[in-house]
Amino acid sequence: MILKFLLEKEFKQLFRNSFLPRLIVVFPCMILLVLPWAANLEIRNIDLLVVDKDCSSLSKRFIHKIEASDYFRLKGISTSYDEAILRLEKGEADAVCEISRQFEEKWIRKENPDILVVVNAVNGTKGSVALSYIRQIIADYAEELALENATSKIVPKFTVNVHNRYNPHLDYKIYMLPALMVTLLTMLCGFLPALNVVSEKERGTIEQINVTPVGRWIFILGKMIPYWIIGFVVLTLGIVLSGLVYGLFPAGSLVVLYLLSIVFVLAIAGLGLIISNYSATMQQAMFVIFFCMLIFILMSGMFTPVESMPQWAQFITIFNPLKYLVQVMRAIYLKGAGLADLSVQAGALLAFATVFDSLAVWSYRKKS
Amino acid sequence: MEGYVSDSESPMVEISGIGKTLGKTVALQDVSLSVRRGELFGFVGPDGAGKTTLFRILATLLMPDKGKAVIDGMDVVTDFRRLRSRIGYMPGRFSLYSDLTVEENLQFFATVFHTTVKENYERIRDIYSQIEPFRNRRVAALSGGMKQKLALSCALVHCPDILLLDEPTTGVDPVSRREFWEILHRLKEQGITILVSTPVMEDARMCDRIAFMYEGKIMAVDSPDVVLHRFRSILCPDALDSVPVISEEEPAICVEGLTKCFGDFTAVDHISFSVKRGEVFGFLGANGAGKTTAMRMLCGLSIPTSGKGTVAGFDILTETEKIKQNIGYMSQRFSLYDDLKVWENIRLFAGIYGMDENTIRRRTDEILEEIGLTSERDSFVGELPLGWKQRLAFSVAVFHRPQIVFLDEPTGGVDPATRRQFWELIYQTAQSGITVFVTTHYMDEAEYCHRISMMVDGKIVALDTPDVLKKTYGAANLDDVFQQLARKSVRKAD
Repeated sequence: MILKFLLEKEFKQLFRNSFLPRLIVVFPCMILLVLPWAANLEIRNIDLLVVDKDCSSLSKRFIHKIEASDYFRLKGISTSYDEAILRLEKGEADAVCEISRQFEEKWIRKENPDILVVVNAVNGTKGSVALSYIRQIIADYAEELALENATSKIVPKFTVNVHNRYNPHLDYKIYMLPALMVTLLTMLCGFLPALNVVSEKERGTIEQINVTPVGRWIFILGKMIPYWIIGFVVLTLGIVLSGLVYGLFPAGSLVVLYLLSIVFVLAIAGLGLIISNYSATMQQAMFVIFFCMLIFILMSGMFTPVESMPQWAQFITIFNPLKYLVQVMRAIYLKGAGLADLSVQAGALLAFATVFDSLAVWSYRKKS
Repeated sequence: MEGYVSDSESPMVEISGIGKTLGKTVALQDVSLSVRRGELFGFVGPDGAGKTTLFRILATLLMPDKGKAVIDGMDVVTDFRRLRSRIGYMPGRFSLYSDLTVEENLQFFATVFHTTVKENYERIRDIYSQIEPFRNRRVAALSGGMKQKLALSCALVHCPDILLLDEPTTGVDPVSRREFWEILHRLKEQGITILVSTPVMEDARMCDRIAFMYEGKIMAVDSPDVVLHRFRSILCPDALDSVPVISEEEPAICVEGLTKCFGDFTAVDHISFSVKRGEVFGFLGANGAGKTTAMRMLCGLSIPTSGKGTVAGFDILTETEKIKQNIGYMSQRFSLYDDLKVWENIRLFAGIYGMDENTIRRRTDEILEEIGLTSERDSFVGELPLGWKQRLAFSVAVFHRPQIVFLDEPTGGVDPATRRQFWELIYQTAQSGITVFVTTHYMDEAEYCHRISMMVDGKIVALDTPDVLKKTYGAANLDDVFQQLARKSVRKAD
């Protein structure tokens, strides 16, 4: 009964705010329309310099093969290795590939011709990816040449057939979209309730509430439920947008998706409320929340796989609610997982929600 | 000052035809007046009369829409850079940094004006020496009176020729207030021109001349006696009188040895008293004497360190939630929701106290009628003048018909007529059987109470009816009683 009046108040305040309702709509749109293109770990457009010391027909053919690849942009062909390295240092190229003198000659003499590859490995991933692409091209080329020369001999060859399950076109956006929805829920449903309570503290209105007989559970519920509903709206918006814009629909059950997301919102809003109970000012609350969110997001496996983190870091991620929802989202969206497959994640999220919300109620003090 | 003879005869402040509209409200209309060099000039008038807007224009923080204001030959619009170093401005809410120490605050303001504390020490010594022993204390830990002195020191540190003080004495106890005016008079003797606004008529009497402002217009400029006499219906309303309807059942409030310590500081030191049902009980004391802390314990907002007691028949240690069901509370900081409408605020708090929809709807209309805000039913609370907000906050506090209502400095910052209206409401409430427990810094309000207690350094040093207290201390009015008692305080200097 009392809850009804508290909720009425929260919603009126929310809709009268000139900024928040807009934020709740604009924020998901921005994140889902822009970030999938930016948060992209696929590596293309590697700038490559070729030093052709042989200038033979074989080396020319090799250069053509590189040019034909999607992954490389041929930045130029020079004859001086030193000049090429200088340009690499200046950042004009990501990799240098040197074709040695007597490349063709050695090939004809059935010796092993040399190719030197120098990559800028400041960004380790990009460097190693560049290297493996070049290796691939070289291997293909060698095979091609071998076949041409094989006259009548039959060379046995492995055929590798690849099936990309769940994300057949290896589209990075499809991998990121479900995870970005988790970011959305975290930001809106974790930040907002915390800031709401602290602003009541700063304005002094919480004092008037504390002197009333309203119970702690009721008060916390009154703060939580609006964000629960906002979470619901944001999630729906996210699902509709990724369906319309990227043609991505969840392969699994929508009901499970909503169910687990809503449990997650309870957990993250509870965390926000705990922080707000211990913060005296907006500044303090903002900073602590920002700190938590940054760690949560970076350690959630959203951008980098949890499995490739060191053992101790993997241990920390056990306590990260985001990790579980990211797994849930990807599993439902891409693999069509059901509740039975996600029982571990569901259990973890439920535990987080229970612990965080109990703490939120416990740490809200009506008297000092 | 040789060579400036003609200057010293020209007015220090010359305002002609100033108008300013803020949003939809007309804050100032055709305001013209002039202030002489070295004058102590006061502005009185109700909340929302335009005093603060005028001060902000003079302090070059706001541009007038119409008209012209010149201070010491410099225009506030075109010459504002030069002017700013000549003005000392003290805004209504202290603009001190509460996380910095006393000394750091002063140094900061000196640095902003490209000077040093040392250079102008002579100018502020008189005031600053009173707070200098605590120069390493953070501002957050200072009492209201000390903050006020520090704020004044900060406004003076660059040796301005003119001081603009916007309601400097709001929320300050009578002793500190008297000291403050002594300081202002000494500054005036040093030749500083002082413009000060105040809602308190005792303050107005200390000025050379005052201007009475009403709805953005200057109604009169003259000596305090003339102005106060001419507008006495607004500025000096007749005293109120009421006979308490006291029932002799168990007392509304009864405490024994109530104590609250913060670390090794004892804010409230073993106080014992009881309040009868139906009484209007005044809880007086200087800033920092422990009134608010004591009141927060009675309301169940703060847990006592020791002592026992009952409020509305419930134990203050174990039954705080039951107490909350039976009391109303109005805090010194206005704490209704600005972004909710008048009726929505009433509805919210009535709902929290468990009243049903029909009762709420019916009583809302009644209450609004009673406090004369029926036409403001759909206005946002944030847009109401302070005096109306206070009346509304009071009505919200008693809407659920509590046994006791606690009012913590409910009338800070409003003019005497508005305060009197507020007290009429208090009396009506008391007549209907609700016990009223009120703190205030206004001694005219203390006279309205049936009984008052006086707190000094966390202890209650006097408790009786206003008349008996005046007799006991041989004083003409309660202000004198207060001065006599509060000056004994050792904590004030602490």
